[in-house]
Amino acid sequence: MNNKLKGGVLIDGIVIKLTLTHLPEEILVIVYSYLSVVDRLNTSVTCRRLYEMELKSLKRLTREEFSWLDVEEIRDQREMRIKMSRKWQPSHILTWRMHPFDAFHWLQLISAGTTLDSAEWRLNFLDPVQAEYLDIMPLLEVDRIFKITHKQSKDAYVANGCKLIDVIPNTQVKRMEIRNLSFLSGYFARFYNSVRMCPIGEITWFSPADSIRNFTKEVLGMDGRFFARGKRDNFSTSRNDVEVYRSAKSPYDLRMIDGWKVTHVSRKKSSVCMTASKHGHSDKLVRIQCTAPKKQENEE
Amino acid sequence: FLFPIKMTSPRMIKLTSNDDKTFEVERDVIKQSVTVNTLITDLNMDDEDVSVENQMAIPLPNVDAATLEMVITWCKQHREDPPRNEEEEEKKEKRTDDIPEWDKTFLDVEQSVLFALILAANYMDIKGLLDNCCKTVANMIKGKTPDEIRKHFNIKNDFTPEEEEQIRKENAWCED
Repeated sequence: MNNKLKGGVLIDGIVIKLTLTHLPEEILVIVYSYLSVVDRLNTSVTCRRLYEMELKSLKRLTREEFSWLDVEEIRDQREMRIKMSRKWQPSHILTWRMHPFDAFHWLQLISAGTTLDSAEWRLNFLDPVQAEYLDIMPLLEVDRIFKITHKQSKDAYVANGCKLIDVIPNTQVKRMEIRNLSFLSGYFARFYNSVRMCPIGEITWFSPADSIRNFTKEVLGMDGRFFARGKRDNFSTSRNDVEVYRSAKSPYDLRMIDGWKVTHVSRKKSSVCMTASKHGHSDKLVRIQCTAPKKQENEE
Repeated sequence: FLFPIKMTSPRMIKLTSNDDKTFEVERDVIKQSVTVNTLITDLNMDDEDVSVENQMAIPLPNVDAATLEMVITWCKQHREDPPRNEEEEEKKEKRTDDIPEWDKTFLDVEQSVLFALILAANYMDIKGLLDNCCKTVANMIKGKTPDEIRKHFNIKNDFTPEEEEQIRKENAWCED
């Protein structure tokens, strides 16, 4: 038996003893698959390589398409295991964790959907009730881009629960894109209020035109058919914490400043695009400046 | 008429480690290694007319002699194991308390030896050995704090203080 090399590797003529961090990724993935979420998390934060390894394993999972078979909530361990369909490998048993927050408890997605530079959630496969509890794992990198897309159907995903707001990561993210998602009446304002104070540099959100009525009503206090197809009614606003500018020409472009974000709302084909960019922090209340159109014009 | 009974000795295969030590191992024992099995088939080494003396040794450039000896010992111990059905294995609950007692004792070695064994099992594609090794490592991790894991595995913390602070914030939920 060659004791000199036993358990070691020869690097530049020196025998280096193997450690956990020398193991290749595919083996660490197997080891991780036997760990609970807490143990895995504790392991991944011991050093940079194991942390990056964990992030890479998340990246692999994002390429999978999921559908849910079973949801098992383990309250004692504050985690939830989601068993997925398709050719399920052990790594497909995604682990979610409960995250106490305010009077509610959130679940934080940690095993899928996040990558080093971008993330995409396939909300189409998610039960709306479960979608209410989604959150994105905060990552270290600053220049991150998150995408949340509803792809399965041409119809928008309708968010009928206020907890969908919590998909917005409460961490430094460069840009976030939300496509084909809609909000029922009552949830828009909560979503917007959550967006405007989050540290994301820019959020672009595409929504069906009909849904934008809720936006103008709930966020701007305008009760009209703003941005709807066809004839537009006059609008009025009752909100006193936003400053609104609106172009007089068609297509209408609305700019709203609330002290945190500058929000542009514009119509793009069949949907409305809203982009909220970071504006800086201000405690002052901004007076309303609603620029009414000089003459009645059609939206189209 | 009396015919002499031909005693068939077990077919032997020669394996050479990366430090040039050659081992003779029964064909039936080493069949658990998918890598070696494939090489035997590809190189047409199952020809019974070729004596073991004239047989080419299979080089294993990623495995040292000490580790190869352990791998062969493990394969001998598990030669009677039923063939693994990977699909069934994937469906099984992921648990670490089902390591056979013999394996537990066998794998109770210095960490670096265990990791070398893992690398060899991975290279030689011996799923049973790899799984039990990984379960052993998982058992070492379970229930430990990040600091304890670092200490146990001699891992150097190479995060910057800012990164570590960020990670602590992210993981505050799991710190009771």
